[in-house]
Amino acid sequence: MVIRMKTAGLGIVLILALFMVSGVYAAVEKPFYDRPLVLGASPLHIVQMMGWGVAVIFAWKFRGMVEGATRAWNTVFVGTLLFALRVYWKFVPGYGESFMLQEIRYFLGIFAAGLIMLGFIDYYITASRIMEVE
Amino acid sequence: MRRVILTMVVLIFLTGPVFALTPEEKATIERVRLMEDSMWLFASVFLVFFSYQLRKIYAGGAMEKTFTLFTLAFGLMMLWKFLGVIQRVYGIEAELIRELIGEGGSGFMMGVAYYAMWRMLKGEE
Repeated sequence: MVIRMKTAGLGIVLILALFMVSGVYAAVEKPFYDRPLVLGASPLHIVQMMGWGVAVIFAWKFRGMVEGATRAWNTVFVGTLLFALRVYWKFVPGYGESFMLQEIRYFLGIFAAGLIMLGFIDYYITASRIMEVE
Repeated sequence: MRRVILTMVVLIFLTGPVFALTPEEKATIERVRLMEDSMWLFASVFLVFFSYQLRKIYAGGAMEKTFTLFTLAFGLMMLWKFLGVIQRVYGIEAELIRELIGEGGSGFMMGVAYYAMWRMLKGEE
């Protein structure tokens, strides 16, 4: 576990270093992280979409694993799913021209914030109670 | 008490967006966007607090590390949304930090945190 944490730490440092390098590059001309790379998505969007996609997959996988806190993690899962949808929503065809699609995207973000917060409060209350009993 | 807190959170997030609606579509989008940023800022401050408290509850255990990652991820989210609000209200732009560290960094850290949580829980089973 110690080695894994070190590897994860190294990965995070590398990603941050990449951000720093691209920051210097951005001072010269249009940043490469914001240039369309694949299907109109920039490297920044790809990192963001991958991150939230991974979060949704694992939130789905562990939502029933904590005894007594299934409801809390289910709420967090739905919130994470909504936020991931918000991140992917930009690539819905006709997004740039449709006001309705743009509004839906921000509303998805608002409801995701509420649900993730609700889930974490629920889990915090449950965990506090379990610890008190123990 | 639990029900009161949870109901209050639901009401805040359901009633807030209603005030952003205007007859003009472009103005509505700007207001909804600002509202999303400010609500996420509000939520991420609380999420940093709760994940930090959970980290303290599980101090010394395997869960401590995963909640440290969640604290970091929500901290980046807070930075992203804080800079978003500042940009939309005062016109002060910090695109580089907001997009790279805030937007990209929080997405990446969120994936890492959820993966670490699953890995830790799987190991406990």
